[in-house]
Amino acid sequence: MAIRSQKAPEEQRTLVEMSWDPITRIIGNLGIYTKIDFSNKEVVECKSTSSLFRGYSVFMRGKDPRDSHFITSRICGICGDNHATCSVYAQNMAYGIKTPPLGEMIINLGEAAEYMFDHTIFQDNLVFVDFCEQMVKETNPGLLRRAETTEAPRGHIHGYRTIADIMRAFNPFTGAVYREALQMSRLTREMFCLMEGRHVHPSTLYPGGVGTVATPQVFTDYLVRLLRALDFIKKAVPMNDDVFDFFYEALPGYEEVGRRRIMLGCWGAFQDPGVVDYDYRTMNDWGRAMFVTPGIVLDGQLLTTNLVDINLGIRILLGSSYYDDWENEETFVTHDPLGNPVDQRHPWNQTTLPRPQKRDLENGNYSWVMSPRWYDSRTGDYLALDTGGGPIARLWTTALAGLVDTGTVKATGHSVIINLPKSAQLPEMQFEWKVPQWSNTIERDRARVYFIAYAAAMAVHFVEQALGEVRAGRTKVFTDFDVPEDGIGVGFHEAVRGVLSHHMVIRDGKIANYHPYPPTPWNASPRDVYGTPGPYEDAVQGMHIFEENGPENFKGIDIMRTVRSFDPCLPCGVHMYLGEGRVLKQVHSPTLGTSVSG
Amino acid sequence: MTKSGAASGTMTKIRSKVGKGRAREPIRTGRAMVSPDFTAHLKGIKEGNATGNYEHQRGHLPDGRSTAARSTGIRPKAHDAIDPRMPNLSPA
Repeated sequence: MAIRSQKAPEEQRTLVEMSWDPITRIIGNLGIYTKIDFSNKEVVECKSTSSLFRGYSVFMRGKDPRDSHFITSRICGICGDNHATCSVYAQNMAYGIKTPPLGEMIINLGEAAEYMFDHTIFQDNLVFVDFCEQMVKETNPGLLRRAETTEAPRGHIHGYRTIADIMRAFNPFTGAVYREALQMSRLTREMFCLMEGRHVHPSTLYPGGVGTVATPQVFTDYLVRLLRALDFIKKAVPMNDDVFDFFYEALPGYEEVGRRRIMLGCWGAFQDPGVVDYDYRTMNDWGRAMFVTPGIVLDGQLLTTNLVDINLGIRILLGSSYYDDWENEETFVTHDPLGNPVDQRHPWNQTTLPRPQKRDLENGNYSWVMSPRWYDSRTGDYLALDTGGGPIARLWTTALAGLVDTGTVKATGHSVIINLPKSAQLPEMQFEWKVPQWSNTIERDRARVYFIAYAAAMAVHFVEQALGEVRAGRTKVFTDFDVPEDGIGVGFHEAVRGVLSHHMVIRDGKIANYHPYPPTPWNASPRDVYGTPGPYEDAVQGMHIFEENGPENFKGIDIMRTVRSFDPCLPCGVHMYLGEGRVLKQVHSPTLGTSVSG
Repeated sequence: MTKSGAASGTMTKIRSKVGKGRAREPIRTGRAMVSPDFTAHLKGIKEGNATGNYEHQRGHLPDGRSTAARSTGIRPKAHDAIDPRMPNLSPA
């Protein structure tokens, strides 16, 4: 954290500039720069920056399209399989093929395990550090005193008597929940590896299918682990509810922390093998058949569930990013296969022209992230959609669309009902995620644990379907194909932390253009050419500060909780600048045990 | 002769770096024929994904089912289902 300049007057308010760069528990390239009015306890301005250039869209050109899922998997070290899956979807469209039903089930099972793994490790090992006893003691001692005397309403299920007991269980390395979550992440990764060969860069995932040999054994091995995970999940959901309800109750007004206009995007997950054919012309039908419904929610209303509309509305804007405009560059796709015009600012037509430069937070460019927006043709607005870390958007669109009904999961139009079968310790249980009043920090975090339950319930459904296929002897898991000389494809999927799209153009049998758009460019985007701030900036700006510390030992816990509620990527070390040239380094070592000294 | 002369020159250089004791052999590699970002496929070369390969491989039936010949070439029939009405689940 840096206090760059003390007390700069602006609008007759005393503002203090504070920055966190890089933000911890996120791959070390995200910085948050704020101006805080401590007398009114308010964040007045926020800018989010990235100092890392990746360039996948540059070096993918000219490569064999069949390599794209192996290469783009390396975009991320924690959700690489989401990229591989999305790339496979895009390739399937470009090659005109579909995965056989059992192969599709295997991909769905792998992805369900990935959601369970990644959300668990992020929520319990990274997010809950912000809610643990040690942290709350340092930032809100009054809140901890109250937690000590507050009974946990659902303690009979999860076993913790008071809210403070739960917070103690969240303590890093020593807390019971923290340690159990690490065990769970191992278990769920094993589930993933059974289906996709290797975590996190799948070795058995290809366009047209999978290389996994489908035997009753492989699905039974998966099911055994799933049932063990169910016990953990059944306790986690009520425990999360207890903690988050307590924050609302003990800190009146906490719902305003990280609150922004409800502008959520979800690109859908888990293909239905009975419907999907990867043909762009029928994308609306198979998109709506997905087991997580794609859609855009604006101000609580479901705007669309049509993937064609979603696709055509995507615009990549500049404004505060270190790139030259590609307005006069080549147009690769003028019309989509349905004859609709495709904008020059659409990923199919994007040409990445990096221009490194000095960061200028005041009046210039300050980030390597571009500004993806969704063009609302009804109003002409360029909406800065966020994913809310993934789960809140997925559950919201699925709930409102009311299309999913597998028995284990049912979308009602206003909620999602999740049924988990009997497991070793706990009986059959039902959870209901209800559409919340706000899109804020607490609800983003709460949705995450509900989506773990959702993914587990869907996994139960998929494993039953897959075993049905195997028992019928239908063991085909791949289909063969030829790479066309020219073609286009798009894949829509949900990375763990939200929307994911891969747009590909093939010419002469090689990649002519390839643009992956993962969730963090949407969430961490800077101000666009119209001056619209990105979701992090928007959520933090204007936020009330509940931390009890003053400027001298300010931790920025409410800001950190907000940024982390969006589930920015992987954990990293801590590196905080405290002003006056003093650099404090705090390293989180992932060692086992707590008695490591030195 | 010229080539080996060049190689021994390189070796001398490396030896001097290693110093006394066992001299390390340099790793000898061939001349790079393609650039590192060269496309993975050359036209005309057989592709594993090519259409028709599914049918050509043993044990894969046209209707999506399979036999033990998919998994083994050693007396595969002995591993097939006993009763034709049973699903044929070939070993992994």
